[in-house]
Amino acid sequence: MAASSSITTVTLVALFLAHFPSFEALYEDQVGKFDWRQQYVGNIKQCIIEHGGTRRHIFVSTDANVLAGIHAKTGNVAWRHIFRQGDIGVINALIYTGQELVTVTGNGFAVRMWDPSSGVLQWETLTSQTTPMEKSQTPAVLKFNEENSAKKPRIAVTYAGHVSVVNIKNGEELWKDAIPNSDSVQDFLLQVSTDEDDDGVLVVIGRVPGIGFRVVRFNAKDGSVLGQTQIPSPWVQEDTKCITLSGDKIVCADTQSKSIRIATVKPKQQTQSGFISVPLIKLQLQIQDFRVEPLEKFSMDAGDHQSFVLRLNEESIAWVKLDGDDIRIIQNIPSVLAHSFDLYKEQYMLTTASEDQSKRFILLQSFSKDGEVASLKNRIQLPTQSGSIIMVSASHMDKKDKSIGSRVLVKTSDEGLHLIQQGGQITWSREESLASALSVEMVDLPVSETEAQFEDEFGTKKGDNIFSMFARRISTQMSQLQSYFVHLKKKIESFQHGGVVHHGVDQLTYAVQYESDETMGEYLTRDEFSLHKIIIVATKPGKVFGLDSEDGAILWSYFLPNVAPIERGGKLTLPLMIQRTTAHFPNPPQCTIIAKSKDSDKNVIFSFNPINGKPSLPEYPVGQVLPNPLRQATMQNIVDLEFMKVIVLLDKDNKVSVYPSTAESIVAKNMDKIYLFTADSTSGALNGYRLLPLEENELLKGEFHPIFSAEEVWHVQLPSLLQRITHVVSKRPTEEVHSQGRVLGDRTVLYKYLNPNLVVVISEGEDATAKSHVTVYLIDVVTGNIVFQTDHKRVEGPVHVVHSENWVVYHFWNNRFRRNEVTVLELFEGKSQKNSTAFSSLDPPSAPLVERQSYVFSEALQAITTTQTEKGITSKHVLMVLQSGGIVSLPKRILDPRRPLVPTQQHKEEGLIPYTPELVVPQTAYINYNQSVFGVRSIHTSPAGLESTCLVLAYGLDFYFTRATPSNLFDVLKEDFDYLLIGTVLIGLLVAAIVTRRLASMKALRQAWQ
Amino acid sequence: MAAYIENSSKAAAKICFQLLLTVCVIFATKTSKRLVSDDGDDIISSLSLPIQHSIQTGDQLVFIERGSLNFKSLTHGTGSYHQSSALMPHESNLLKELAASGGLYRARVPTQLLSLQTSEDIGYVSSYMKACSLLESNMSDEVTIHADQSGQVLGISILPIKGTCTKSIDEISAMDLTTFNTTVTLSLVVPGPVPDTQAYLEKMEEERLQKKANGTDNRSFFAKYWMYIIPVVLFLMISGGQEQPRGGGGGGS
Amino acid sequence: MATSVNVVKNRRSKWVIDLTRSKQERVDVVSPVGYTDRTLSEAASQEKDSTLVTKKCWDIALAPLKQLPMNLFLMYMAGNTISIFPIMMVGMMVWRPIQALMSLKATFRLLEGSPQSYIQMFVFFVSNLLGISLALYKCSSMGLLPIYSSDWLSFLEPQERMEFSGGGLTF
Repeated sequence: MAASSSITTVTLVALFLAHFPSFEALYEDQVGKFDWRQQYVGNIKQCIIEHGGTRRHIFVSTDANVLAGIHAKTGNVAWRHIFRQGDIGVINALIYTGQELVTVTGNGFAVRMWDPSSGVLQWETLTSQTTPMEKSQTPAVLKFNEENSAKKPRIAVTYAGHVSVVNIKNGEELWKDAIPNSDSVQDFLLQVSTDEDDDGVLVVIGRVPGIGFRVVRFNAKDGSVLGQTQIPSPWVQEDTKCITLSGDKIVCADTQSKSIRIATVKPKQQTQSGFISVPLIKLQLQIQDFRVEPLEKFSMDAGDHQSFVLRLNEESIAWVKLDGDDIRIIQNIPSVLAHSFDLYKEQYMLTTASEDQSKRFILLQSFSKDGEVASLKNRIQLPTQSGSIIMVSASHMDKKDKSIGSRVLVKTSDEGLHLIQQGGQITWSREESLASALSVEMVDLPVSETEAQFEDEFGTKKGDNIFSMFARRISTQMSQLQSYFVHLKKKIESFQHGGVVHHGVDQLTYAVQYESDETMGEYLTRDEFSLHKIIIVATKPGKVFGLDSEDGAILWSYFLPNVAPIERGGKLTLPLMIQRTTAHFPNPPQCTIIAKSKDSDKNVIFSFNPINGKPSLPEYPVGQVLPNPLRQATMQNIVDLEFMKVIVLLDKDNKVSVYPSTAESIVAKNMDKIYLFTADSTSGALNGYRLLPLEENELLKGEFHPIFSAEEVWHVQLPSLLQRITHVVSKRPTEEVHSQGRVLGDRTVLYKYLNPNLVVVISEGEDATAKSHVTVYLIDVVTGNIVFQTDHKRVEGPVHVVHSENWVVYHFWNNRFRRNEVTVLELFEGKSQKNSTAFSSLDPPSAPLVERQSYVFSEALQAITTTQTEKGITSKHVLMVLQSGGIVSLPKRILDPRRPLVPTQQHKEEGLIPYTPELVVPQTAYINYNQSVFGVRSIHTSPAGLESTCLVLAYGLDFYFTRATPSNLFDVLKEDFDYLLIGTVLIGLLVAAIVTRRLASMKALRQAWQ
Repeated sequence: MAAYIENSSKAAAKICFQLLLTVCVIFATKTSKRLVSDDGDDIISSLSLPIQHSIQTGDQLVFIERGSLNFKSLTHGTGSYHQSSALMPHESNLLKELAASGGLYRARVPTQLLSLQTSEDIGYVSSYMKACSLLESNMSDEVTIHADQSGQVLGISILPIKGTCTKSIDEISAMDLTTFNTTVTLSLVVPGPVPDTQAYLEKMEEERLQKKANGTDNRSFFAKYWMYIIPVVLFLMISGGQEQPRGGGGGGS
Repeated sequence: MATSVNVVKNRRSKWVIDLTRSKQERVDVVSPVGYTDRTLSEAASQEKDSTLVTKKCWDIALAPLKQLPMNLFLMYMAGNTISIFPIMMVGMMVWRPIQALMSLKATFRLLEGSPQSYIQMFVFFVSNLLGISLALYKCSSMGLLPIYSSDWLSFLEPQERMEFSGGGLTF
């Protein structure tokens, strides 16, 4: 009896222990387990494959003002430098001499040299003593060797009407001269030549559209002006493409007369001749549109080749050579997608990428001036969802067996990079479109099959009698039992293997690899606390990704080729909306993107399933084009019968249509509750609309036909002469507010003003006295009532705003005191609520009390947001991404406008921290320890299944994902919870109690019998 | 003596009266400047805005003159409403129709900000409320004009006193609507908060000085030693009385 | 015979008390303490009985009232913090009157003999209520009574949204 009871106890304990879920409590010594960081470089502009030195790197300069060195073997970023945003940091030229890497940034303002293997800055030279101008023209850059000696490499840069020559070896500025007569010059061309005395001459050619060229010759060593001439050429327009060639030649493409114009820049003694025109018909080529391009961008063509590239009709290219006054074709390659030239053993090699006849493969070919190199012809297949090739960069070298080999880096239209080695295999790929991520959402995973069946069991299907429901329940539970055993077996196996490995990550494409479809299905099911989510990222080139939140691997991607982001208020956006989550089995989840079409000004709407990335409507694989351009699109919280949220589209004619069109009846029912508003950033006008049914004769048939008309009901006009609206921020519609008021020290309640239709509008600009000015308006967008307005004088943007519950937090730079400041506004109704059951903007409570306070903050921000949890019980923290790369989580209690300067007893009861004018960021508030993030565009938070946890993703150039627990992990047992000890003690005590009771009763009985 | 006092008081009264007169004259001659001025540099000391309303059902919106809103000065506060003319019977019927059909009563006010851009038409800012709630609150509404510091009108908000709609059609048609009872407020841009470093530094200074000065503890004897006296008293009481069998008093207060 | 009887007697003496021993070995039985051999008058005890009874009943009726000052003092000593002793005190202070109120019937039976039983009952009832109210006062000064609006705050449902709005900067 005792033995059997102990066996049952042991088995019970064993089963109990086997059922432990793996714990996800975050401890400081578990860094890296629940967070990950990814670093990107951006859309590359220029790319050089290292051909000297160790040949290990590929140097790229990108649109995001990033200079990076990428490992050629693995595709990882070896080193990276991020320059300032805007024109000041734009990388104009990237030059690699074989030993040095030189960049020209800021439209010619700064010349820097970097060590190619480590990316360390070697020297920096500024070409101007004054601060850089915001808007300046693209500079002309030329790398040349003085006296034709490779030991004296120089670089010449034009900037602000001056030309500077810098010694590449040590960064010393050799000379700088103003270019005479450079007033109306649009841009410059640079050329080196030798004059009669064999001195090096730097020729600066300025193009004046409509007039001609102004040529100034400088002595290359000391910068003295040798002479000036003019070449009148009235056919020169603004967009005429001209290049310089060795041998003092200038070549221009005159599209109007369909000819190439060639001129020789004569030295000062001889008279300057004009341009010779060479009509292209001579070449017997079909030409509508053409351009000339140099072989190498920033240096003279080597070896006196005098050859250049004619790009014809945007399709084909011709490698031509100047032959006296004529041109001769070296190679003519039709239908080329992209090409590049590089030097191999002092000869130029042309690499082209073109589409195969079957249109499924890409053909890579290499040509020398003698013809195609057959051994380098490759047929490659790019990964699906990549788009077409738009840029190619190649490098030819000698292989071990002395034959010629090549490495080709290919950029596709989805901003992805692929490196192709010999043999046509893709060595690695990088998805650089993630660096231009515009919208991010997090989606729950679907529940497992058995749980879905469980839900199904309770589904109301009429006609089911009790027996069939019972039978279904039995069968469901049998299958649940089966799956549980399988799960248990797997767990035991994984214990033996030491850790669970769900999936591998493809080293080439960072895409997730599954062993089988089953494991994929099993991996993509919701875990117990719903902490594992799929992150949907919509990027600027129109590519949508689904990332795994565990490690950031790409689960799926989808490319929309003809789609561009929508510009709103000067910023690019791509509205991404979750219409249906995975909570409504069997309806599949759906996300929608609204974008602009690249070809016309119409809008495109595209729906897809966020779990597997397939389009929701297979007949529209790249989305549907809307007939009318849109003014506004919003998703309302109204759901139709299939639990899909409705998107209301307002087009330019003030007509409203509904997506999906099956929801029209629901929207018609709620028509008088829906209000739309638009804000025009330049004219400062805000308009509100309500929905009215359309007249019968205006109803059209077909998809996306408008069913309502929008009638303007209110209008607010903000000053717009000197200011523009920069932010229109509303609350998150899925936000939950847990308590309706704040408890004060005397136990009364200060009720919060929770207006769901309140929007924060921020306009930045200057006021009448030409000082920078920021105004903040809180507007109710159903009636147009300006609830509160406040302004800050001598304050500059960029303003970062967070609007949540009943408060607004914003951050700006105070120009007067030269410091960053953070201001909090909190709205309260007062000690009593007008209507505690419903909030109607048409019958609102009286004007709210606005408590406000401001603090000095020490850092500038990249992005700001607030944590969000499922029920809103956890206290809120404001997450700020600092310019220095850290992500800081500040409790909202610090940003409380009721903080008193001198606290009374009541204030202490309420728990208010005394006011200090400075907001100190404690070191423990950093949630990304040493994983600094730069170039962050925005930060997104999403509630997890656990009330205490919030998932955070900062995205931009760097991606960083982590979990934030504002109130510490209060709803999960700590990780070292002593199950064993407590279990054994409990069971031991129980057993002891039973045993002693038995013994005591036996003893009492024995006593009684004595 | 009494005569002297009487004389001086008379003289004082005369002086006061004269002063009052001059002050009145000064006030009377002060001209009130209107909103629409050519150069925006005029210091606008008072504001007068015509307000129009639309009370018709149907697609076309027709705005008719309702009255004017007057503000004495450009500060936060109330203004006055002057109705240009009482509502005509046909207008009153239109309003009743509007209320019965659940339509919107709109009001608008001109703003100079729009007309600066499009120099032809006058720009308006407008808002609305449910017509039936206007009737429910017996033609009493609240109009708030939102303006920035220079007096340019940014927005208008018009709200009824009672926001619900409970009257039936018969009750509506029996109502007599002629005049509006409007409370007018002007709300200006509030200057934003600044970190209060001054007050904080002063507080710190005060605290520092206080700490220096206040080393002594000068409370009364009882205040210092009550903690020891009370238990002794308690003990005596308890040992003396026998109706007090309970012991175990808790901790102090 | 005597010995057998004695033996029997001895064995039985543990359990049996022989009350029937009328051998008259001792004639003089000492009278108990305080016993006087005289008769008592009947009439006086009647009177004394009724006043005594009333007095006794008033004692019972006023007992809770007498406890009030002691409770007051205890309350003051217990203080306003929430810790184990004050809670115990308050609990006791509440429980005793409630128990007394629950045993109202039994007390009524006790008090039946007195002529002023109804008044005494009433007084008893009221003094118990006073005791309970004192305990409630103590609760409220400790902050345990939900009489403020902030105590009902967590039962407030979020306000229903009557209008839906959406929009932003124009496309």
